[in-house]
Amino acid sequence: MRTRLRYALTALTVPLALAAASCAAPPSVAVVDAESATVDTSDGLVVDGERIADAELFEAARAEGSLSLYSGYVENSEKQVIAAFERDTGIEVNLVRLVPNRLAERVLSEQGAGRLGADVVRTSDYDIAMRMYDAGVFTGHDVPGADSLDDTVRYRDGAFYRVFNPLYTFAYNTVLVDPEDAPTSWEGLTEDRWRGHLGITQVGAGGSSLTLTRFQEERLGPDFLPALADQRPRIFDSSSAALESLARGEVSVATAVVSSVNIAAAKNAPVDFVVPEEGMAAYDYFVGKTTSARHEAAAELFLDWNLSQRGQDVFRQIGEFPARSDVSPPEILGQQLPAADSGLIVRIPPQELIDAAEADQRRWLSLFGYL
Amino acid sequence: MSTLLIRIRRGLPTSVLLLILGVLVIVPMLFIALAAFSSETPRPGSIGLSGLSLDNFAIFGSSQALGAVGNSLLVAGSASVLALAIGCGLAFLAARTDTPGRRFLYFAGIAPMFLPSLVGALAWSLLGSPATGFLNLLLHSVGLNITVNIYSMPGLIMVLALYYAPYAFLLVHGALSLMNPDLEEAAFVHGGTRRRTLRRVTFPLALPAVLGSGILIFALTMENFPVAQVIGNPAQIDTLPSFIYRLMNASPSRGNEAAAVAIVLTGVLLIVTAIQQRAVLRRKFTTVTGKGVKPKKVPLGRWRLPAFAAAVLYFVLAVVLPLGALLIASLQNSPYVASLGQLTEPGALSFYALGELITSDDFLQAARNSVLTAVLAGLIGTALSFGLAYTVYRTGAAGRRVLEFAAMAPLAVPAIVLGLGLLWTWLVVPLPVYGTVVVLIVAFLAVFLPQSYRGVSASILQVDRDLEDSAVLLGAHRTKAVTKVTLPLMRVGMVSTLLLLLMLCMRELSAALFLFTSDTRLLSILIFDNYDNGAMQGAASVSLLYCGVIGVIALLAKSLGARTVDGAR
Amino acid sequence: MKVQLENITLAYGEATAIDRLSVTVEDGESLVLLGKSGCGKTSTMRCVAGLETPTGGRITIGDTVVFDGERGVRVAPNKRNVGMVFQSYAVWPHRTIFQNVAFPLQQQRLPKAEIRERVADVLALVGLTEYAERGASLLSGGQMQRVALARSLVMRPSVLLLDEPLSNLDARLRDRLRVELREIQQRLGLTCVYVTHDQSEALALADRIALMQGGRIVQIDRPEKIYDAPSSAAIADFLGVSNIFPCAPAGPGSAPATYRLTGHATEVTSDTPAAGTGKDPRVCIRPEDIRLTGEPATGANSWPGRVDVVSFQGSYVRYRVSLKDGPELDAVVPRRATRMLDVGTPVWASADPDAVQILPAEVPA
Repeated sequence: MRTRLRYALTALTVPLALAAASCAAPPSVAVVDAESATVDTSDGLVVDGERIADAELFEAARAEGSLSLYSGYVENSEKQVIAAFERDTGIEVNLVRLVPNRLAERVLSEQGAGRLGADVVRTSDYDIAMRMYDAGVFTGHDVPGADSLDDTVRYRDGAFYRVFNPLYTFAYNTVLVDPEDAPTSWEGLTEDRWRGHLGITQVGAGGSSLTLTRFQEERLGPDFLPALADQRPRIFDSSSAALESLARGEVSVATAVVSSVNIAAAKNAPVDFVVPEEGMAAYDYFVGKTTSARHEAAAELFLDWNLSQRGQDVFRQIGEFPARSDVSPPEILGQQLPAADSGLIVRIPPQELIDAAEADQRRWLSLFGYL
Repeated sequence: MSTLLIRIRRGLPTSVLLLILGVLVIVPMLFIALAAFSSETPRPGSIGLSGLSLDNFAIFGSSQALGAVGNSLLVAGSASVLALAIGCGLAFLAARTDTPGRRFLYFAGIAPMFLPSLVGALAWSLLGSPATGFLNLLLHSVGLNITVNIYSMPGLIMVLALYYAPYAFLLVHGALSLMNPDLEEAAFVHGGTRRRTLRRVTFPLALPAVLGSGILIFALTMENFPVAQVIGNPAQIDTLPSFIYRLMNASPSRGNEAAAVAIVLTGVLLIVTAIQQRAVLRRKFTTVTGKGVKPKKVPLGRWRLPAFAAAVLYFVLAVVLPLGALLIASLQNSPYVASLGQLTEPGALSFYALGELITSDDFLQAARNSVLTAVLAGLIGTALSFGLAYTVYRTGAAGRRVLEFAAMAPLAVPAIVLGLGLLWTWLVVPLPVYGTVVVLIVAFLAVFLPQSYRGVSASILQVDRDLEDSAVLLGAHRTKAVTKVTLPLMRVGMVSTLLLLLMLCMRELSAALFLFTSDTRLLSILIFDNYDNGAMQGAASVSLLYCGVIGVIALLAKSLGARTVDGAR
Repeated sequence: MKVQLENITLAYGEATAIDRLSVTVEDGESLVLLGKSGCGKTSTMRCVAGLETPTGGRITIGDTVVFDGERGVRVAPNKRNVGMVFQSYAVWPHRTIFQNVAFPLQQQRLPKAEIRERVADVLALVGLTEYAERGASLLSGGQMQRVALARSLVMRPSVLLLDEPLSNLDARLRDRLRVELREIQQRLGLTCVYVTHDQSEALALADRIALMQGGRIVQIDRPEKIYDAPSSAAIADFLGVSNIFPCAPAGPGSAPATYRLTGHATEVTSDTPAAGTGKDPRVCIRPEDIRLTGEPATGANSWPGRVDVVSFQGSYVRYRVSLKDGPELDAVVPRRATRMLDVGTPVWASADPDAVQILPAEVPA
């Protein structure tokens, strides 16, 4: 017994001293390949042959030199987007990042006090975007080809746009669960073998959770959530905490967002996501130029770039579903995601989501015995 | 006319200070109260007394809210009892027994202070998470089929107790080692046995320190947010602070209900603080101050080694294991560890991530912000406290008592609640302060005002007022007398206060929780943000470096403190 | 310089510390404010220094009005040129003795050479020449007292205030410094105001003593006059008269007046004028005026009794004698005057009628 303990202790310290002495970078894969695009700025901004801005706008934006972005998007992903944008345009982006509801709090307060510091605001949740819109935060702007965008992309005469949709599905720990045995459908999560090994995110965590809940209620039927609750899943405060626990093996399977799984896997986490047979939930991210923008041209360029083929491709590489229907769905971790019209990408219309929010939330909380 | 002028001149410093305190402390609390009783959270253009109601308090009809109240009381109560047991036991061993390695015992007693509870909680979640916690991997690798689950009520209580025991240790150790041996010898002379003397004389004399620190720990654990969030949340155990945080972070945010919960938490803390202040006051009359005498040691006989082993166990649980876990976690190349053996494989551990982190913009910016806010809050806080203490103790200004009361008031306000109030205050105040480092400095000033005020006023009371008056009579202007005589004589007290503030600001998380933005993150925030975003490795790495920074400040304080003790003799 | 206080009043809310007090200290005079703690003596001194602001009245130093409640004049303490030796000495521990003493001159921005010279002079005067470079925290009580004095003297103050200057010293040092202080004051012709609660210190240091009670001066006079003729029993008590008993006139007629101690059979005859005794008179006899003999003394005021307590005090012996059918008396007898009496010895205690004073309990305010 004692020798085993000593063995265990040496096993702990020796490698620490030896193995850790290495400073080698762990194998990791860059998520966004920003460098591959060819940029031509001889006449406006042209990336990979697509004309994003004319010379006038581009020069004006270059003259302004920078812009201020308030974003509720995942910080690391937003930084990759910014890096690509800065590379293409040479315009610096100053980021203030807060979780969406705190971002709303700040934007509305600054707007109310007449000193909103943002040129561009990006947020999830239609009702947050609409509260900002009602407070006069956004001003209209037509991105190139605005006419061809339908009213699920272009809102309120171009006051704000839907740019991309993260896809909410579930993922598993590839060490604990053999890919052969991984559940392939939401119904599969209610099998006995997953009892006590599931992780989910609480409904109050944001619009993403609400969207997922609506999706589950609508697509999987009213019996799904009670069955899931019977599995006694571990409930996490945020989806990122759930994913971290999944990577550490605290849970074997957890609800997760495709892009987050993509980034975690790039950092060596043993995780992979599933495209369930019933489909997955897509929630919205919006972006808009502010009324008080001091860097107007740069702000417009940023919007134009976001909704260009190039910008959409960056989001695609991160693992988000592009808003433009003419951009093909991403291929992430070797899995080709289904097309928008396959019926597997379920986007709930914003108003429907808002109308159902309170009842969904109440039902979820009572089912899972949470706050 | 001129008497009016004199009156205005006399009242001026008090009014200026009161204004500052008002902005720092009173206005934020008013905002909390306003939010708690209305249906809209305070925001420019939407402030008013219309729509006042008690609706927000309806949240206390929910089982979750009542559960949070119950959990808070249970957790704080049990954690203080356990922390007291650890702290007092260790203090007794270190101060009054012949246990070997007394210097180590002392070190073990205070060392956990350098691990902020946030770091401790993170480390313990690495150690004791049920499936892949390092402790569990270790237990399983030696063939024991025991699983430690830190995500549980006992786990939560244990982690809190581990990191709050040093408060009890410090206070009780002080009381035990300063105790005048005459009192105990008198008991011996009058025929008491050693055991009876301990029970009848020594322990009762130390009782005020024990009770005082017990109540202090109760208050601190009651308002502790990081441990409740990191350990309690996965176990689905809500306490009032984590409940407030969750309400604020809910989508849409439920600020009004959060304010209502904050009011209740403040109320509980107010009662506890009032009791504690009374205990401290009473302590002044009863504590026996010695003259640096060495009280007799109690021989422990065959219990010497077991006692020493217990102290080592505490040190291992509170310091060694957590730091080890953080180190491993920050060196891991993959977040997933199936067994300890996996860590021995080549390439499993690397300093690469740690090195990347140290040179990353995020870390450097957070470190810069941390140092900047801590230094500025320390300097301004010390200066402000001096202004307050001087006005209260050295002038006849009207409203001195009010000043003192306002300066001590944050003691009863949980840091997380004050942070919430400051958020609403600075969102509404038409100054570009919110979203900058300034608002963090303001928050730290407010939260730690009682500590700095107490430090400076203790120091000013030690400097005889005549010393300054005599300089004035000898021809110096009052301000010159202060700078030439009073301040130089208070140097030690001022520097200690400054260092204390530095230390507290570096450690603080809860007050800054609602106030930071992505470009004004502090080290503590960076850790929490990393944790919150699921980047456990980042959190662990920053934690390690963070402990290093705090350790350096502590060493600095100790070396300065040591010199001051010598200088005073 | 002459210091004049007129109708000075100092009140803290409801409590009155000084009540319409007026007094003049002549140029070169040494005035002692004597009284129990809380009588307002220190407050009075601090008003002169400017450390307290009176509620009303006027203070003049030399020709300068430094405070006038009506006209709103209030000269800052650092502009009054008033020296003050604090009870705590207030010697700055973070400076050397030289730095302490040079401070007031540095405030006047005098040339360095002159500062050195004047500091050296004043250190010589107080006998601290060798200690100039010593740190002030290493001094004994007596040395601190001298530093504090030197620091005030070096600025050549218009008036020097001393707050209980000797009370923190041991008895022998106190005796010596008392004489030194008096000598320096007289040599320099300083105007001094002392505050003390110690009657022997007051007697030794004063040109005039002002006795204070309840924020007022109840008697002001030369030391020997006050000693011989206190104006009330309370003052007599303060000046060390320990035999004080309530009494009433024994009966009409006989002069010198005879009084009976209240509650006792003992009768006392007094030869001093019983001026202003009014109601509630007290018999006051100094313990050194009591003689103890084996037989009855001739004349009035001889009472039989018994020795209760004997306390040998070196140059004198203190006895406590309980009189038959009377009160207990304190008697102080020079050591050489008689042989020591044992406890229990029957004695006769006597006092000359002219050593017996009949005084009112209090001076009417």
